[in-house]
Amino acid sequence: MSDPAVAIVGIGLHPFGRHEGVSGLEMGAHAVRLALEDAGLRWSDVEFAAGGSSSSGNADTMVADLGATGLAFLNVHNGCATGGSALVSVYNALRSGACDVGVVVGFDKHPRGAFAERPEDWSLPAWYGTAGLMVTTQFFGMKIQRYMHDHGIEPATLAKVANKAFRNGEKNENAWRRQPLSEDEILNARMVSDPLTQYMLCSPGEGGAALVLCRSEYLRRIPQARPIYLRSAVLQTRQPQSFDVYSPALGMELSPSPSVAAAQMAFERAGVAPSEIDIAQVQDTESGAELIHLAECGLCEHGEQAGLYGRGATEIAGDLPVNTDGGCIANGEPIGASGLRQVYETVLQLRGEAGDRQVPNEPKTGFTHVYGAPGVSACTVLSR
Amino acid sequence: MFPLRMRCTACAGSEVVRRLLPSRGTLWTYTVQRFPPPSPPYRGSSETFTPFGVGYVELDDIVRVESRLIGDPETLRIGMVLELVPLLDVDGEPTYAFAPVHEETSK
Repeated sequence: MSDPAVAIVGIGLHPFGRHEGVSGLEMGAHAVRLALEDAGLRWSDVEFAAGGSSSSGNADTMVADLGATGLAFLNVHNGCATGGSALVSVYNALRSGACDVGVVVGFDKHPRGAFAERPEDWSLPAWYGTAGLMVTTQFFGMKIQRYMHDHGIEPATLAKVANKAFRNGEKNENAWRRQPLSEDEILNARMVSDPLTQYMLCSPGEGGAALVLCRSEYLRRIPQARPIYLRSAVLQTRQPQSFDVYSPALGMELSPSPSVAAAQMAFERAGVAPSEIDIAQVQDTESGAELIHLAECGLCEHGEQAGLYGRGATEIAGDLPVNTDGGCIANGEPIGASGLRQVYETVLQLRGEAGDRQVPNEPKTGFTHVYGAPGVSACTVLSR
Repeated sequence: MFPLRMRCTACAGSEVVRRLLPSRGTLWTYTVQRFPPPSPPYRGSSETFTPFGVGYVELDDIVRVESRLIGDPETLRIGMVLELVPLLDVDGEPTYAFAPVHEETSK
């Protein structure tokens, strides 16, 4: 492993779910205050911040609540990779030596129901939307349908993923959906986008997450800190023949997903192999995505998933605990906050502070992954 | 590349050649849209909505095109043979869809 240049010294989360009367920006600012308190630092110590939301406002305006200290504050608007992209920006700024202390923040507050997007904003013709094809759940249904056909995976495995998510969510006081559901209840629920039922899909929701990071050299100035090292933070976009969200056509020879490229780069830059990862948070927009992303990120083989979930390998006490806080399925997806929630959970686990859902045997390494439209992925590798 | 773009997505070149795609193909993957899509952008009434199939249709060895699928969504299967049919949107504007070919059996 390379020498750690950047440490995460503070984490904060506004509970996910529905919070009437609280704006997305307020949830973001709340998470920042908690992260600063956790780090033992003040807002005036922060030299650079980056953050954003998909549909809940400009992150830099939260200086009205946090203090207009004049710091550099970058607004990020990058779909499901908003949090990941903000983290990459701060990570690179710290590594470069441009500053010592940085903050990353993500938040969102989405209305109920599927995301409504304008085709013109996505380099797509208007007819794509009017015809009813501009629906993210269609992509997830179609991708896992083909994947199950190619790799012999049954709907029972999809149900196991969601069942695990709700059981992990039950142990997470910040999660939205904390009611366990049996595999039968999940399988027999209302079909939303075949083969995915209502309880296999995450819902757009609300929440905020923030991190305080510093250069490793700065740690001697905060002796009370419990640093977790950010070994790599990588962002990648799609290749020409890939099978991604909002694709009107696919090539005959599919390019690898941006998740493959981002994960490979994240492992290489960290000097850590996928087999050395003790705990992973991967984008589980729905049950199928968790299965596919584990393989795309190199954490298992394609087709191995039915066996892994059958023997409980991805449970909190398994060989490779996955989405230990309940993931998107139990937490919902406030887009801007979602990727940083994964990092928050990983830091908590690596510190050994995850309470009822603590992964046993003192995990040392963690991995996070987000994926979203129109083919973007951000990954990190963390270690104690 | 579908739909037609002025530049190639792979190399960004501008010498794009138009090619007529086959009107028949096989279903590569599919799902069923079981709730009314968010409107806008969808142009359709949520009151009269009925679930419809969506899939990628493999046209020879050229390209897989995403399309609305006409007919009973419960009968959709990977590998079934489909053909191009015209579809009118709510304003009567022509668009396209694919529908099962009944006289043939597929694997």
